[in-house]
Amino acid sequence: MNISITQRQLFFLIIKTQIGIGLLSLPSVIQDSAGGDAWISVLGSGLVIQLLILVYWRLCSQYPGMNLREMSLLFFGKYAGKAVNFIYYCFFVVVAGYACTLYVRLIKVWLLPLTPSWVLLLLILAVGVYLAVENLRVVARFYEVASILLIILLGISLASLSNETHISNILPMGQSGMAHIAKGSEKTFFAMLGFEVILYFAAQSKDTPRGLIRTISFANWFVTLFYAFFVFICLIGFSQDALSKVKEPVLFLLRGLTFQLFDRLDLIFLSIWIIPMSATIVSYLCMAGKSLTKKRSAYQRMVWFSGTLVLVLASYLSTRESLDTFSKWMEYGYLVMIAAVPLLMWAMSFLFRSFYKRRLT
Amino acid sequence: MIKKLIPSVSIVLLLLLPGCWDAQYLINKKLVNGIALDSQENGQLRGTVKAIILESKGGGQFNVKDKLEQAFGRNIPEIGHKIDSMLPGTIEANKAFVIIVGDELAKKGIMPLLEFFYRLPKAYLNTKVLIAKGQAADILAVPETENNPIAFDIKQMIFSSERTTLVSNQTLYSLWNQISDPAEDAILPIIRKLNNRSLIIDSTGLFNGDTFTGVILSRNESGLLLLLKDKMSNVAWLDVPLETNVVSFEVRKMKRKFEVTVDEQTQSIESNIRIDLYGNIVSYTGNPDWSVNPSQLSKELEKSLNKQAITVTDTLLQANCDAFGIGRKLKVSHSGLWKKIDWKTKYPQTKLKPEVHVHITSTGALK
Repeated sequence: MNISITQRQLFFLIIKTQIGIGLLSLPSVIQDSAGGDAWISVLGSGLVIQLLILVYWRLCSQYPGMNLREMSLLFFGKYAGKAVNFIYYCFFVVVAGYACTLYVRLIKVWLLPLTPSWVLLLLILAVGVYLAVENLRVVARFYEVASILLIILLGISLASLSNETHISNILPMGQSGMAHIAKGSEKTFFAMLGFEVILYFAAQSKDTPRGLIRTISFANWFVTLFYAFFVFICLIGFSQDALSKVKEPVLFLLRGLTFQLFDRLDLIFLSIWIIPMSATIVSYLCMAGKSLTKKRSAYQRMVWFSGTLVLVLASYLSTRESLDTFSKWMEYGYLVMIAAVPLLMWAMSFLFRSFYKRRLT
Repeated sequence: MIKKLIPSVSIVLLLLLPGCWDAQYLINKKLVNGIALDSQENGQLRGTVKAIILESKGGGQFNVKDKLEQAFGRNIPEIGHKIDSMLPGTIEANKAFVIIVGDELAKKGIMPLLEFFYRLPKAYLNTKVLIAKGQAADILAVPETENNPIAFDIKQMIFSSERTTLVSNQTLYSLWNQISDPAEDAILPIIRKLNNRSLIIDSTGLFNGDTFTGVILSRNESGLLLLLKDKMSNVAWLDVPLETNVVSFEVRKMKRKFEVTVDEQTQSIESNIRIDLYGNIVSYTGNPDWSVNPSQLSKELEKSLNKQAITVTDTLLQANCDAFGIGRKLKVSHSGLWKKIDWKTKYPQTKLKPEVHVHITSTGALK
């Protein structure tokens, strides 16, 4: 079970989980609150995440080789710890289900309007489970290879600069004020989630604490800058009014492009984007499995079971008219699960360090 | 065992399932390549479309012909649905080359008409948008030349006019960004009928927000406006009238300086646009021996062009069309002032000073 992964593989595991469906709609979401300063919001959000991963790093380096499941058993004891792990499991399944729903909605709007949701879900989850049952090294290697696509996506998005762009849309800098920028950061935060994989996967990387912090910080800033870049090109490529009306500005931006050989680059972009989006779901299935099981065979059964649960949940969610209240609850859930609980653990380990160390031995 | 089955099952699923629901056959489609919209007296729209008809010549070859259809409705989809019922096959407007809007309709605002294309994920946003002088339907009804569907021809005409910097390159995509930006106004090419058989695209219509002002810049002014906007494509052809004759000047390269200043006390806004045009003389017969005196001729050209440029800027101010994006400059450099003023009422009072400089780099094969 504990097959080790390299630094580089950990890096790709993190960025591939973080980069996903959230990016496509992000520019118009934060532009609503931060206006032309939306790109600063993204950087601000990266800063907050950096603080949070510092806490993760302290936990991971103080208890090397332990993932969140083992840590919560250590901190909260046998019974409460199991309960916490079960809550984490439910949480990851719900996140995966929610991500699948958004994903299917997007594909239904842009690519396959008539295909029933369950078919799309089945296809996504079949592939997802197929990858997630493998050991982490296989998953990481796949992510590594699939990351080549990010370069293609960057290339396509650079082509959008051949549209009319106006740097003046983001000038003068800081026009919307700190409060609005902070509000935009909050929204960005929820589009950049996925770094909690550190708590599960860092245990398997054979890294020194120094190497670990370097890898995870590098991953975080890579994602932050990647997001900031997309937000930036949307800000200069759209007028403010148009940007606030568009649902997926990153795709819309590419609709204005035409080349001799290619047309509708937005659809090409989206077809490629399916892979990062699926990677997110694979990561959550992995985490769901790891949050309850340790042995390999049990883990595989768990992933299969979670995949089925996600399928049921996502089929239900995609019949719902609006996901607004649901996503609001998801945000609160997120804050508790990835910020509050790890912070609590960190505080506990800080206060009763010798106690836990003794328990560990 | 299960593990071995998964790949094969997945491949079968992948191959079989996705095509089931979203397969669309070209033979069931009726492709529309040109759309014309006009207003009606009862407030409805009149939509005219050119649908492509493929006639098999045998041996896998096709004759491309087109058919004109017309319907009335309150918005584009309604017209589309009606036309769909009139034609065999499903109507597909997402590969239309041109959308032509009649001038009377354009004066009522064009964005609500076009909203449909932005909302539809399938729609093609590189469609060219034109304003017709008179009825747009008449433009599409012009008999085809060289057996090409007329919408193809119109598209090619726009391309050639764009190449010589006569009209601006406007698509559905670029138009939305310009019109929805309060700090800038859009301009659109005008298409008109010369006689029963010919069409011409060589002038520019000015917009105020999303409404067509009805003001049209003529051929020479239109080209000059684009140069003042720093929107030169490969070349620009200028036929400059001098006192006795016409000089044809081909611009190859240009530089622009664009400044907006605000007087601190009076808050009056002043903008200066200076363009330097570098190019060659295509035709000059002003002298008996046809020889060109570059320094003297460039002075004469400047004089004439400056006069035209002032007409252009005055027309823009009168039409309340901020085609240069002065508002955009103001927003960046004087954001305090920008927030206070109502740009639409302030713009006509700004001072706009164009300045054209001509540099003759070549006189061709003759002296």
